[in-house]
Amino acid sequence: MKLIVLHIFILFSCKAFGQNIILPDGEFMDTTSNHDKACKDYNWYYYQVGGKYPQSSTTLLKEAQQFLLKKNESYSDSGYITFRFKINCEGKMVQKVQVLQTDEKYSSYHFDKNLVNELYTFIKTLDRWKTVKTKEGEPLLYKAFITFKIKNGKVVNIIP
Amino acid sequence: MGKLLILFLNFLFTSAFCFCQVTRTQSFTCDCNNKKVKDSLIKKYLENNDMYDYNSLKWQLYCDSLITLCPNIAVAYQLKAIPYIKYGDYAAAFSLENKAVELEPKSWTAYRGFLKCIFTKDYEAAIIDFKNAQLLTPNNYEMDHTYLFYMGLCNLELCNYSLAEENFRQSILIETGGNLNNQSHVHCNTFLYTGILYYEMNNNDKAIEALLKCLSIYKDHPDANYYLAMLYKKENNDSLKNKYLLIAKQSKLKGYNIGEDNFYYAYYPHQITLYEIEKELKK
Repeated sequence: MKLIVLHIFILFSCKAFGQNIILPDGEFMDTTSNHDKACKDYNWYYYQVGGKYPQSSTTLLKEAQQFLLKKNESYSDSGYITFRFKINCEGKMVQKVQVLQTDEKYSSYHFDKNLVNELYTFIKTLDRWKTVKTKEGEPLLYKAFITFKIKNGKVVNIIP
Repeated sequence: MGKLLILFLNFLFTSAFCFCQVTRTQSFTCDCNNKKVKDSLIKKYLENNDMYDYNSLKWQLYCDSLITLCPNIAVAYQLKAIPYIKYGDYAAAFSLENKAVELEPKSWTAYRGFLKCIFTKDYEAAIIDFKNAQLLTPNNYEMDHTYLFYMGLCNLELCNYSLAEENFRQSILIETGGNLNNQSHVHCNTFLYTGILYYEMNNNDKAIEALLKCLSIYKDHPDANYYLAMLYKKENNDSLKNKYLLIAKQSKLKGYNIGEDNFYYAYYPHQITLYEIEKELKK
């Protein structure tokens, strides 16, 4: 009986604190990465195309806080959770989303997996990403990211 | 492969470099404490024609090569950190920035404070860096602004309004060279944030005065026009509210921005976008 309880405890602990998919180039939320071949990828970054998410950090913060409020979970850690991804030619986030996590002092860290998952679900709701073309009219992918600054388990700021 | 390239770059430069020597164990050593040697190495490794794209492999290789050769050259760590800070890898970025500050605190403490203030919104830590920078190089500037300006921004965001007010007052004093009658040298964003501070403090008269000063320097400033509109909204003056919102919208559509070099990478505190302007116009 004790063994069963222990197994159940370990199982739930893994869900809460488990890691994401670890690949040689980082930790990811998912591994699939399909995109339209007509959408060229020249490794451009959001800052080369004016591609910061087109809402102020304050507006986005309010939306994230409201989203998390609905989940009604409480967390306690502090630091930064960053999601890095590409935006395709339809202004949608492409899969294979990298996640980076640090504590308040910028040392590598792992937050409660449930919080990471909730924030990941939130960024998937963002639908105002800019679409980008070259001067010649060729549609392009670009790299973007969203970081959540967390204090005592609450999102207190959003970067960039 | 990376290590071989670093070795190649080391060989390329050190073989023709009189201050560096090949030792018996075939490794290169340089007199890394000699200022002339350091300056020459920086010129060779960090100021060459290949160092133009911080996202390139070469950028990292040149930085790594120099760090391997002379681990005490702070700027190599600072430059190596650039792509990391701009793409959200803060663990990598700040381990390098910390090393740069450790090696040359006078050169890099304020810069790290700037990164914490603008890039990672780490306002408490940024204030500590700027206080230290103020001791190391008093009343100096970082990215076009006084240290006091950034402390004001951080205190504004932390809702420490009286501290922010004092910071901006001191910044204006430094920017005018002590002569408050000569405000032509004051950066428009010192007035912008003074205005935003008074807006948050519900001191509308002082807020309007500061924002109008900002607009007298930069009339198409979208954020200054937006916050002026928000002040007139508080005063129930719909006509002026709409006037300044429309100017803010037109400014944005024409491509005007907050007037900071780093706005491409991160939103500045309280900075607005076309979304917020249009949302207000629809109300």
